[in-house]
Amino acid sequence: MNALLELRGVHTAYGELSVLHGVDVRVAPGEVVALLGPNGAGKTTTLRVAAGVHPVRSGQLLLGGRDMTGATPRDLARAGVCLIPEGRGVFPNLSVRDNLTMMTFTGHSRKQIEEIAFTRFPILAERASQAAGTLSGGEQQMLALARGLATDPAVLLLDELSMGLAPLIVTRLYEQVAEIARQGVAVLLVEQFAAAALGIADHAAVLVRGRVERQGLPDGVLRAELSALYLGSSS
Amino acid sequence: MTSTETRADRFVRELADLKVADPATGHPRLWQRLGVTLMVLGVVLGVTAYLVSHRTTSPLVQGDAITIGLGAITLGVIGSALFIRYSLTGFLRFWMARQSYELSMLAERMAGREIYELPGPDPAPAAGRPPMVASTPASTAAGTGAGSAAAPSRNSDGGAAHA
Repeated sequence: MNALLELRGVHTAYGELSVLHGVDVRVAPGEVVALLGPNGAGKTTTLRVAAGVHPVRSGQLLLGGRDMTGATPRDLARAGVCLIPEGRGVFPNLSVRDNLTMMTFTGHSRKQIEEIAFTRFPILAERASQAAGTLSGGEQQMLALARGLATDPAVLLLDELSMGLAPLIVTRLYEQVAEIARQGVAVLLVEQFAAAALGIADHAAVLVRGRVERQGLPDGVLRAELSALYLGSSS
Repeated sequence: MTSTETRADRFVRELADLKVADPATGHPRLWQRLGVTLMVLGVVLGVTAYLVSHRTTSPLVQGDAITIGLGAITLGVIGSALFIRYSLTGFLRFWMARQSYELSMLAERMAGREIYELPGPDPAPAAGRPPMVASTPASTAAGTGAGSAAAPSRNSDGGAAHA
């Protein structure tokens, strides 16, 4: 199957500090790819590159087979790439409804957006008038996901979905992510806690110090070697 | 869009239709530099036109100087417009980001203040209630979860309430 999102030999840096050294990742429609690795491995940077937020120094960013290297985040968002950043990124002082209304810039009506959000996350309908900042962490993450889904994404980039959440909530959120992927959305998720992500991933890649050290199916060799890679003793 | 078209097909079709400017060409920076160049050129031509007109008594030459002067004004205006357009874009982006950040901080501070205001409906300061000044450490605690219990309809699924 042709990949919707493909990073090909991507190198990038923060100033003089090189962060990614030739990262290759492919995500097909309906596929969930988990990008795992320890702190500082370059996982978030990889997502930022895929969303056009961070520039590529060399290599290619391909979307649907088209070279989109250097395209602005705005162009990529218009095309259907949606990044849900670490820390949720909801507007805490706005109500749940207002947070969703902000997504009407995508051309969908407020009613359509609320229908998408409230069907998938009924708890948000109960909290529609509540300030987003007073929601629990899990509900805020649901709101962030709902806002992302309102953009009708073809490629969904999720950064540390489980951060600060209880295991039960994480499991529920990942069930929703799997459901989203089943509808044909290509999902690239970054996760520091491998077990949660590997549960729904079709493929996984382990990033260590800006390089993809392992790639393959979530079980078997990858799962067995994961802890060794995290500890940096893969060689 | 056809009824059998999947999201992936539509994505590829929309990508093909998308007109994406190649940022590698650095158009915004180029336009900004062009704006500065035109402004400088406008000033130089204006001064030149002034000097030319003062060094001659010939109405024909002075006529040319007026033309050069008007051209200089035009160049200056176009240059200023280009410069402002392409420099303000960058500035406004940072301004928006800052506004967003400050709103978040304000919301956090207000959430901290509510901890003291919620228990008492009486607007007069209750005896023994700590003064608002003392709410600063408490509002910090609210951001880390201590205040979350005071929020009326907050759930407790273990999540921190930061965004």
